[in-house]
Amino acid sequence: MKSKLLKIKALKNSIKIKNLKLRIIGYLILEIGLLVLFPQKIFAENLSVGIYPPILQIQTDPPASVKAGISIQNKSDQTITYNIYLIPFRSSVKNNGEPNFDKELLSEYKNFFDNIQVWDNDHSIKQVKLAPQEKKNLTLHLGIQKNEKPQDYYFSVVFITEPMDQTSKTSALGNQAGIGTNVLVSIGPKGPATGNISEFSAPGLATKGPVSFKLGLTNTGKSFFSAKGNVAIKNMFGQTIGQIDLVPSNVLANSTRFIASKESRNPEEPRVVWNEKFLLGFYTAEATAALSDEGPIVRKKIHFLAFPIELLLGILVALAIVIGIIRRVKAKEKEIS
Amino acid sequence: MRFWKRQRTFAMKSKNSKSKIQKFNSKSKTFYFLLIILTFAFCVLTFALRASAQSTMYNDLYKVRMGNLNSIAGESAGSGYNLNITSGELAPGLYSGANYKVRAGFQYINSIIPFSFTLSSQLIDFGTLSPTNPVTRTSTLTIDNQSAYGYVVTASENHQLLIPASGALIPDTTCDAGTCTESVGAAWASTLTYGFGYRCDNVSVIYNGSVSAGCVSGDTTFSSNPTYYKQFADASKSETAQNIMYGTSGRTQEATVTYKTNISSTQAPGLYTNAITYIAIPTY
Repeated sequence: MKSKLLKIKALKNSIKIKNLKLRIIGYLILEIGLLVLFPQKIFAENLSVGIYPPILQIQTDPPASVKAGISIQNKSDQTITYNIYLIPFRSSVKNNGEPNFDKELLSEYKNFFDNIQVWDNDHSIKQVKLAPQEKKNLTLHLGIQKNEKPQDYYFSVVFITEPMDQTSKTSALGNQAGIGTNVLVSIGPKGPATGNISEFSAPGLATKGPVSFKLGLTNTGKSFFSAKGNVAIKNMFGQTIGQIDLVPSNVLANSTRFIASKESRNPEEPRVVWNEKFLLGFYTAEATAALSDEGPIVRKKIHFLAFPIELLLGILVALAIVIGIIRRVKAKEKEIS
Repeated sequence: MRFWKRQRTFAMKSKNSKSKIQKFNSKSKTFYFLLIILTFAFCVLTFALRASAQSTMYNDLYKVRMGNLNSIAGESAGSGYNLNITSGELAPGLYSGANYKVRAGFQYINSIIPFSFTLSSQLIDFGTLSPTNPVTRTSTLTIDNQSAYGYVVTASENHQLLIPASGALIPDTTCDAGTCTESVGAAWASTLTYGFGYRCDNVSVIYNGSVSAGCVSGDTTFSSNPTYYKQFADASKSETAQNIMYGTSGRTQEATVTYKTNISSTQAPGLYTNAITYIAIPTY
């Protein structure tokens, strides 16, 4: 009897093992099935691209075959194809140095653009395919014809990723990333830079620092220039008590650009900022700008008055309070005596 | 006696078999447990990495960032000029050829680090849209600018969200008061206001050494109004791409763009798509 019982127990155990095996296999099949049927969504992502240089300033006399290097790097870990576009721009209405892409210029630039190519190893390309982390040194080739008139052209070489195939099964949007470098071309012969300080102003009465100056440089010539300079502040005794360096800036032909100092806080309104906190008296500010390395130098002076009204009002209020307290104390002393 | 001996031997044997079975049970359990774990890991790794290796990968649960190695150097030459390339970049400065001079880079910035732009996601999936349930998604724009004084990032859409086959549209939002456009932001909080729009929140956009108030420094439309949205400039309507980010030099400057869409109960069913193009350009 006992042996029979033991045999039955052994049989039961072997059945249990078999059941366990079946259960585990079942779980595995279920697990794999779930993973295959409902895969986790991993988004294709991270478009990352770098470009150098950020600007190319080209001065040429026709005829010329200009070659300028542009380095582009795909910084993401997927192969990406970039389409190459040449987009003309003009000075922004904000006069702050941001390129204002203008499709209307395309017809004007058509002949010029016909002679511009981007080369990769001596062959012209319209798009560039970059492997993960790959960098390519491309050449911007400008064929300047002999009969080209003296004129400036401003455009950006823009690399834009191709639109992705939208494989999403639900509503979605595809992002494209573009990066560009600005090209300022001046076809000569280039004369001396001509321009002036068209605007230089400060608040008529400054009550506290810092003081913001609005400084506009106007290019009246046919070629862009690169201006640099400073604003010197003198007090009523003629001593120079402050000097603010201007951020060197390119001013396009027939345009105005507001110049900023490194302390400027609003890109929409570039300003030269004098970071002086306590101001009192009559001040003179002189803006000096060299329109190019060869000159000319332009200057403009303004005067402004500084009076710390808020501080004085505070002091007066404090004095009034102190006097009031003293009077009250004296009055009470009289009462007691 | 023999009988009892046999019984004892049998009992001993059965005892042994019992312990063997127990041992086998625990061993097999461990084996199968390990097998499950390994299979699971294999499946996760195999199916999840289908998206190809990228410098940043993410889903709702995790985000992995990977490093970047970069080094190329060389020298290029042409008729009348020589150009040395160091650290993998084109050298800044002045070079010339026959009848021309080229100044590469800004004279006053001695950096050859490329101006870089990173967009966190290529595809923004809104999932299944349901009426009066606004859906928001985000992507991050990152600028690394060490070679130009300033930069601007513009954004535009190729067209409004639409079903290409039927032409059905989710129009660009005009916000709650019907006033927002591609250049003017306005509050969009009502679930009964429909359309598609975006907002931008500054994370670390730098303007002259300080973190700006908004994605476009000086513009506090979004930073002071958490429900404000704008339309994307629509290229199909010849609208000009709008500035979405503006800053000066600085590393890893980030802004978060939030896309929002909401549909009415009368919206035609289907897959609505469009493409947003971001262009990062240094100032001149």
